[in-house]
Amino acid sequence: MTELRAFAFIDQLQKQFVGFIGTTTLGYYPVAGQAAIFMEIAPGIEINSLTDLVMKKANVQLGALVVERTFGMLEVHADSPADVRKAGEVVLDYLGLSETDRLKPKILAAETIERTDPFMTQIVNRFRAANMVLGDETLYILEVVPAGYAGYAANEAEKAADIKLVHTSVFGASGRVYLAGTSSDVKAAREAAEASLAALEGRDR
Amino acid sequence: MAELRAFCHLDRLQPQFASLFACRCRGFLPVEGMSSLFVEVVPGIEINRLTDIALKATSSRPGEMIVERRYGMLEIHSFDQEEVLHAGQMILDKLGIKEEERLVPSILATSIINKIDPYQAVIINRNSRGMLILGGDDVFLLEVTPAAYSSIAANEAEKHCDVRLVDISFFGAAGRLYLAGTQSEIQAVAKKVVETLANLKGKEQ
Repeated sequence: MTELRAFAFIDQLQKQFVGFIGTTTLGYYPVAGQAAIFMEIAPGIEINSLTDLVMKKANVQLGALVVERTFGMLEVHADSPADVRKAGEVVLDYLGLSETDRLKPKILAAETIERTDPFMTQIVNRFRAANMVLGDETLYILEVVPAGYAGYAANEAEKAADIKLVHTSVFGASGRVYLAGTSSDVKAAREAAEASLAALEGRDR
Repeated sequence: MAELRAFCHLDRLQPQFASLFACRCRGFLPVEGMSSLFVEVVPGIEINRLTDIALKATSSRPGEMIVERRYGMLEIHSFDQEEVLHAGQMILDKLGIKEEERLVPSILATSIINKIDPYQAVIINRNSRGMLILGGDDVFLLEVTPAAYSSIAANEAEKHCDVRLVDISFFGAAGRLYLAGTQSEIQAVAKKVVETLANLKGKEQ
């Protein structure tokens, strides 16, 4: 039986977060202001059947379709939030579930690193896909399961504070978010990211 | 013996330039505040001899050494500006020439894109390694030969203007630079880049 893990509706994609998606995705890339949804299921291969249904029944563009070691992840987006909602409903109907049957996000780690050493920032910069973190900036790192919620948290953080989105990983064993900026902005972003995840209702694992 | 093409000393690496270069290079990673030297010669293979001299004579570290289709380029850096300048002098001594016998930069193209379309912003971001261009930004583009001179243009731009360094290519047929920011900052940076390159004295190409 297919298990619904992450199900995260994003009402309005922010500028830096679409930059991140566009830089990394193999699919169609979204632009700022569009709505999007991230869904994660297990077993991974089943995401193909869900994508097939979504693309045939809803007016959305396909941003990412990933089958990784254990899970499957799908991101679709559209100008109209209603179209994206429809895509989510298609998946829920197929699985016979409601939105709150998803897993509740669980934060595995959340750290703020003050005045990041420049040698360390250079290493971070070599694997990140969005903006660069510069030496002496404050860096915030979040690790969350399921991974499909990381994009949602990053987008909410960008809405709330003037930070730089450095990196996100939105599929895999856990999702990660790297944000950088001044200590006060990062603090505001951290609060927004963690509060947004706490507000998502779902199953405890 | 090799013909010297580009030779430029970056007195103090700026935070974004150091980070972007560290992402693009495969050698030792430089950090903000270091001093740096870019050298380009033809035929390309001769860069190995010059690297040998620079590294044995000083405590500079190599950030990049590339032998590409026609040219060879080297970047070395050190916290100690004297080390880098001395390495540069040793290279010039080996070639038996003065600094002014390098080639003057030739600007092949500069242009400004006002209020970039968000779709274009994302497609540029897919190929770039620095800060993200966001939809609606103004973008400055430079193409210069020899390619290594794009480094000093980027570093000086960052010293004087509040712009985001999006991407740089510092080896190959031509050097390229992408900067993003507000309209006024991009206009200011366009002047600064042209002025910086015009100040480099050398042989006409």
